Amino acid sequence: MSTNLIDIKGLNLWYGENQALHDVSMSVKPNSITALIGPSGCGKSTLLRSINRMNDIIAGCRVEGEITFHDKNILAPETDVMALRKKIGMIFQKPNPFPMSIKDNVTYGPRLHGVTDRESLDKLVEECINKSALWSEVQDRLGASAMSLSGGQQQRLCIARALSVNPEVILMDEPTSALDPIATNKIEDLAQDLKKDYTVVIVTHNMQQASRISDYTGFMYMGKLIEFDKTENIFENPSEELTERYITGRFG
Amino acid sequence: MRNKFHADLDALTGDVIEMGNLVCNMLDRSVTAFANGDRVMADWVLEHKDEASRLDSLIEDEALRLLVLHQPMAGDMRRIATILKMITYIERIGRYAKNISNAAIDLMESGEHKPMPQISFMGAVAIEMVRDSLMAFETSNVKLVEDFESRDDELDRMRYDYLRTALAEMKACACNVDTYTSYLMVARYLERCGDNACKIAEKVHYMVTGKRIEIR
Repeated sequence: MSTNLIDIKGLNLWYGENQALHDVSMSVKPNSITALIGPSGCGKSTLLRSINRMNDIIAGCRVEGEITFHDKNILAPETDVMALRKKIGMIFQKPNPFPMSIKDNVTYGPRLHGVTDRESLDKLVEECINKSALWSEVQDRLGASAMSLSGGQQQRLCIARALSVNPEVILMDEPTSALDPIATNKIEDLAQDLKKDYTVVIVTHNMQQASRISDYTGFMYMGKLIEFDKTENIFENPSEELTERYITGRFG
Repeated sequence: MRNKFHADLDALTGDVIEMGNLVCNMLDRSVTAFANGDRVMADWVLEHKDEASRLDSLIEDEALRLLVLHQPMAGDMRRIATILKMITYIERIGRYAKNISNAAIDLMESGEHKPMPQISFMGAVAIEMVRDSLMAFETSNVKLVEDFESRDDELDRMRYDYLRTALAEMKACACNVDTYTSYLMVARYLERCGDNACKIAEKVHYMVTGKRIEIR
């Protein structure tokens, strides 16, 4: 049995004729933060979205290889994709709260999965909003529209919403690119707190962010995972010349 | 913006090489001053000691500015980290050159100076180590410092040889005490210059390979 929570082996992915991922293999350790970096179009978001099969919804997308989660291949046709996405949640670049109250945003998922007990839902709301470091800012206005929150608060609400269905992994696709530095700091601190209970995989364009918050970093280029290592090794002494050139800005 | 950063980093590297060359010349001339009793050489060293300090401050400020403004990574970060350590070692070598020149002047002024070819031999080994450590930095060629451990051992051995000679001379006549005390101090300074060259070599090795080594 692997000590890794997720093992990606020989992953190839095509959008129609265009191959977006080439033989990618990497592992994600539990209770860690793994960052994926690389230039635009390198395949990092595609790789991230493969981990909870979000690419399934893209017409013409074809995948080969293996992604094991708890030693089961999630690419197998019999995988319950809804159950998978409950265990592997996702946060997107642009905060996307539902146009409903703060509280309802958090209870939406559990309700969908059959939780109706009001006391349990109230407890869950407080727990999840607390974990997403938003409670002190919204506790007295849980009935207010989520759309009234600032961008940073909306993003943390989205994280609370993801936590409400008790996931094990949180995938973050450039979660701070639309946020100011203060809101970005809060999300970065939050990611550090979350790894006590969850496993985080984050795609970021911001190399300083990757170096600040992640334990492992993968550098991707043209659909290939060029280098994957402990973050300190990648940013202090990368093994591959291409990685060195990218992170020192000598690329192209 | 990254091009500007790399141009600034290249310029900073050039400043370190300039400081290194200056200090190498100071050390070379201080050894000549002491070994041959050459007052002109000793004065030249003292005239240039402030320039080494000025470059030390200038390079430190510029290195910190690049760190703050550009948050360099990987090889760039290792280069700046190396520079920040290196300038301390180079500046110390400059201070030893100043001390050797002062010792030479004291002996010349007291009229007790004697030609000391042994110091030239030891000085040559130390100066070559300093030059090679700086060349390794300039060219990113760690092969130049691969034999530093044995060269440093050679310096230590020479110093102990001189210690024995000096003690014998001092025992032979108390009139030799002042001269040979200076002689021993200078041997000690040169041995310390070798140690500082080793420290530079360790940092250059880290800069080039990313691996830390210790030269014992």
